[in-house]
Amino acid sequence: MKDGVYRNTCPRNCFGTCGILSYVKNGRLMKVTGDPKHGYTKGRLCAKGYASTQFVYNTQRLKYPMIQSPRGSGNWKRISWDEAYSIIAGKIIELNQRFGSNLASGYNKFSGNLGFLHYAVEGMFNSFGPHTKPVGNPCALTGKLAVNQAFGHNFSSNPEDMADTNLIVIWGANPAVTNVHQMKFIYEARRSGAKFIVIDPIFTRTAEKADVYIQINPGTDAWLAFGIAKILIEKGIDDEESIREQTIGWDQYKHFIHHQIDLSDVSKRTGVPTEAMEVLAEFYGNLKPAVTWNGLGIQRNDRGSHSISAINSLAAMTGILSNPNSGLYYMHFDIEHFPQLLLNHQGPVHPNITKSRDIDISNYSKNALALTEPPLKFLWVASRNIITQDQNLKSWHQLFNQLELIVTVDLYLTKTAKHSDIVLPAASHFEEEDLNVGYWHYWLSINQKSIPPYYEAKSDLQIARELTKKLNELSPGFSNFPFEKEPIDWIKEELTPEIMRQYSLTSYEDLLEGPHKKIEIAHSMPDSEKFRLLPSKETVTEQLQSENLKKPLTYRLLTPQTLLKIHSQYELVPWLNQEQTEDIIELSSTAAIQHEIDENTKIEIYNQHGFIIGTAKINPTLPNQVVLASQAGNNPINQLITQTDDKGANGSSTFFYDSMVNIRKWREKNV
Amino acid sequence: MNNHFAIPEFVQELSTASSHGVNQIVQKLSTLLSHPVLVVDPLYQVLSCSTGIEAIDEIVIMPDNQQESNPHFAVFSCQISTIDSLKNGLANPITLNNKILGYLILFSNDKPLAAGLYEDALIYTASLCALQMQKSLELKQERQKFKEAFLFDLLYGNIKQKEDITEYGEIWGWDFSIPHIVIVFSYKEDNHFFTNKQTVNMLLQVVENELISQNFKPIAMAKQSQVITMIPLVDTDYDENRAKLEAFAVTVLNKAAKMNPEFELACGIGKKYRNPTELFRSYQEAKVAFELGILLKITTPLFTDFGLERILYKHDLQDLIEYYNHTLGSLLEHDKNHDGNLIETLEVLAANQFDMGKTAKASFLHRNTLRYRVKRIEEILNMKLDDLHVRLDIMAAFKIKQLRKI
Amino acid sequence: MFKRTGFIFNADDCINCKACEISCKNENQTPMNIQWRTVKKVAPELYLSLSCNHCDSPECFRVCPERAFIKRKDGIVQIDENLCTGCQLCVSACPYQAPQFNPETRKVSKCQMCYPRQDIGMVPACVEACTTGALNLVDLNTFEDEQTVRNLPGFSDVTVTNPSIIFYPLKPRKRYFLQ
Ligand code: SF4
Ligand code: SF4
Ligand code: SF4
Repeated sequence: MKDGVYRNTCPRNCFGTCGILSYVKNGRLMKVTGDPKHGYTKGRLCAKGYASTQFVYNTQRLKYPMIQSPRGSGNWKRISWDEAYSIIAGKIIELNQRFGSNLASGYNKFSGNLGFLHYAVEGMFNSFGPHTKPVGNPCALTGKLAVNQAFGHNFSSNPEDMADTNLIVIWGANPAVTNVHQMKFIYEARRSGAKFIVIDPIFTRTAEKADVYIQINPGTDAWLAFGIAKILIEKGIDDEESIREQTIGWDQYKHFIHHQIDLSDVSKRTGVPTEAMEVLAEFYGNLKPAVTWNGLGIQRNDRGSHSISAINSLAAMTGILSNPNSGLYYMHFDIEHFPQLLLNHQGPVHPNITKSRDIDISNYSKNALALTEPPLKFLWVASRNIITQDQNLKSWHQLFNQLELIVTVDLYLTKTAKHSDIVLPAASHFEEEDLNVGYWHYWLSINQKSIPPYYEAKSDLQIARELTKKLNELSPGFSNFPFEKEPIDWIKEELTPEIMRQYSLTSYEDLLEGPHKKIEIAHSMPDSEKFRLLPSKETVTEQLQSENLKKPLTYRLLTPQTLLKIHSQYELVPWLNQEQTEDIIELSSTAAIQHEIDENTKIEIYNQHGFIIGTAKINPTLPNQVVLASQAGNNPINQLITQTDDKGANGSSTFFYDSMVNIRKWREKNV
Repeated sequence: MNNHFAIPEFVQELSTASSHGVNQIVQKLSTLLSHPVLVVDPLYQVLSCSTGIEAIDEIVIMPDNQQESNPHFAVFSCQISTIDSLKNGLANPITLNNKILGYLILFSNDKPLAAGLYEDALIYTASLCALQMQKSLELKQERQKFKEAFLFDLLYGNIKQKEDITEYGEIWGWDFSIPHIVIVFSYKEDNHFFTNKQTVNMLLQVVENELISQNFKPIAMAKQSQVITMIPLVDTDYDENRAKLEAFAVTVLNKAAKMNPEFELACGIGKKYRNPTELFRSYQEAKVAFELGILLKITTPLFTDFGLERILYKHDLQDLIEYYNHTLGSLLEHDKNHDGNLIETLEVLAANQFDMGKTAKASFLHRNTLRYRVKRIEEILNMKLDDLHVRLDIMAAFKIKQLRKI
Repeated sequence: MFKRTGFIFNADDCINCKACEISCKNENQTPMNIQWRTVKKVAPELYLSLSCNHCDSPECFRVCPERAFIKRKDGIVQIDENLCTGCQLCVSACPYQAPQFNPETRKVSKCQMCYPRQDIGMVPACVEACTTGALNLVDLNTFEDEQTVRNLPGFSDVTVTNPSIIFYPLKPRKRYFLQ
């Protein structure tokens, strides 16, 4: 690599997808800055981004492929890449011969790196023919479906436009922690007079900054939206005729609101005083253009989809359909407009198996265990740390016992890697080429290879190329992966003429000069389709019922992201770990009094699935029935989280926020 | 035809003279009008005088009511007092871009002068003066910048070679081979920065003028809310030096207070340094003395006077509170429960070096009453007040209180 | 007259994201426990991002026997690590914990206000990194705004050292907590 400044893109599962400039000298990353040509991040990074040099040059990073025997013993031995490939290819081929297909081989990969070329994992498995693969998006699917349902297409407004609005209402999102770059647009709007409202059960950092903060009982957002709609309808809607025309089900909606919503009842359910509802209705009614932001938190419980629908309906009623400058925010899925050639790579046809076996990723281990003929025997883990991140941990351990080979590709020896047979050192995004597009903003950017790989680290694509080559050596024609293609070839092929037009590119080289923004961003006003208002009678009844479910334990466990880590990704970067944030369990003053718990004492939260121990912190602004614990740490809280098995599990997000726990003081003997 | 554009001869003469500076203008005008002429700055300090500067003592502008209400005259009358006489004059402001640079004054040794007669000549000559003064002001500012850069480096110890400092100093006639001391005058700032530049510049002038009157080549600069000056100390006698410095500070404080009574001003005096490369310490010390002076209500605080105070001032607050309560807590408690004021008695006693006689006088108490009270205090505190250690503790505790730490 | 460069910190805008803190480490590659800038929660909802304040009367500078500190004409207080003998007098003299002692090198270092960047017309790394615009630079010789204050709860006494920093305090807000 030549000395100089390179363009990188942060590939993390984060709203920023920031443009990075990397300063390289003698093949070493000296420092990073934000890319000033990126119109959303505007030359800034977050704290994690600024810690890049430590992320790359970290003595804890994996240097070589390693094998451990027996699994979990910690008895690691360095092996060559060729040895690793031989063992892995040997196992895949052996399983194929044993079961007559590749269904016994599967992978689990999610959002560790969102770059286009990281679909090499999918591409590689596709190239074997039918296999076992994860489907679904544990994080955002419920909301996606709800938005789709209302608009007939996926849609989220242009984030930069938030600066030009007069009202910003955030339902259950915490950009001050999870989407820091958005704050400047919010402040810009506020400086020119906009009002900024946050509705959230937790008094978050964002809530602290809001002009008006409204605390709400978790999971009752739909009710608040109905309540506000009621006040507005009661006062009379100005352009009711045009709303009736632009929507489906207006009269039904109005009727429902009118007859079944009672403000004092709403107030009781949500915990929101009617005065606050009046204030919010007043703003929604008078401040135009207005934007509404559905946070991911809203949909992380079993009533999420209704909440989002109810909020969208309120937004539809208050201007997003008529005022082109108003907006509705969730997240977008524009990546789906690209060919995604690696993801969609077509493998060889199997004589009698038509397609791969799907496992719902929201409940991977349980579903995988249920598979027979053949059972899952080989698991490839990439871009993901199952043990801290996934739920249903008990079944994971069961699954591990059944697996004959587990391979983990990662930068660090994560908890998951420690349970594997083979670990393969992954390249950081500074050591590989890639292409990235945001899911919040609309910028497309390149990721250059700016430094040589750390020791023997390799990118997912490089591993796919080399492993498939090895497979074909051992068993000719096993894989049809085009291993001769270089990263740059894949990148160029993603940039179809239509994509180039959308992002005003004349050639791939344009991206080396800076990120490009999509020129036409989907509009909130559906052109031909009408906005489908909710609720229909059925969903409302369903909603009312689901709320009657009595939970056996007393506290709802909420697990939001902490500032300096994305899930478990930055746990090992020392710059970011100077404060002790781990193992903190926040509880309300009422709960503390009830359980006689003092600040900074050890407590235990538990349910039927397990328990974790942490340090109590009393948070006087927390709702009484909520406890808060951060993700990752030494005592992974997902031990306590299980997927509610039944309804809606297919095609919905993981309901991380639905776990109920109890609290007790920690005593040695409890352990 | 040409006659119409003729320029009167005296105009010609004045403008020729003006190229040689304000002094020449003054001389010329005086010759032309056969009366003495003066130019003063906005604070009525004489800048130039046709009869020589020494003769003038004080100038008092006495606007004549009639004339002031008469818009026909730009000039106004004034009185000029010299050492042995009082004279009447006519003054005209010297202005440029609405800024007053000073006054041009014509005066007579006997009868008052008729405004109508001299007005035109004064106005015209004032405009010539304005141009000249502006020119020299710019020059001065130019030199001032250079001077300020040097003083800044001196005050922050950025010049490490003694010789360099002495050499540079000579440019402005300063002798840094003799010891200097730094005095800081500063307007008080609480939760806002003091940003009134004009006021600070006036203070600078007061300081400079005062130094000039004591025959020093003034070393002074303005910096935010402060005016910093360095004073050479030729005498080796400590008390004499001290008395002079305090007198100087008091004069400046008083004069400045008269000019801008609405802003609170205070000062601080650093230590004497023989080596000019160490003068930066004197500056920092002067600023510390300034802060302590305000807290302890001392008008002319010298850094050398503070020992214990300095240490206490910077010490950890929690620790100080503990110390205070440990030393005086039981007495405070007693006062509170019995509505007493023994603590005040003790404070006066400590302030008077535990001298019963002085204390009795200072607190208007009968000696016996005082003696009784001291006995009570000793009982409550369970300490003997003639013990030197106890006295030290008590004095320190009261210092903490005065330093507003409690 | 010269500039007096100082920081202006808007407590009402700061979200405690620590980008300033880490970007300083990125720019200066300071070792693990050396924090030239730190963001601290000093009271409920009040976060302060603080570094060396480049005081007008720097105590560090007054007490240093090696004269390792200099005050530049633009106000920056710089320490020359080469002159530092590790006596740590400055560490105890500074009311803001700005000078940082590194036990390995036995030297003190601190925020240099990114003078190499400022000298070529760039803003300090931490200011550049602050996405909310809460942290900025001003010339305190000319800056005037009625709404700013010199001190906030949680910040050490400003007398004696006269730090070159000025603050916008928190604004009052409307809140509806659960009934
Ligand atoms: S903050 Fe501390 S280190 Fe910085 S200039 Fe002031 S006294 Fe010195
Ligand atoms: S000014 Fe530079 S050195 Fe100082 S805290 Fe900011 S980034 Fe660090
Ligand atoms: S970068 Fe800005 S908003 Fe973030 S902590 Fe620092 S000062 Fe606050």
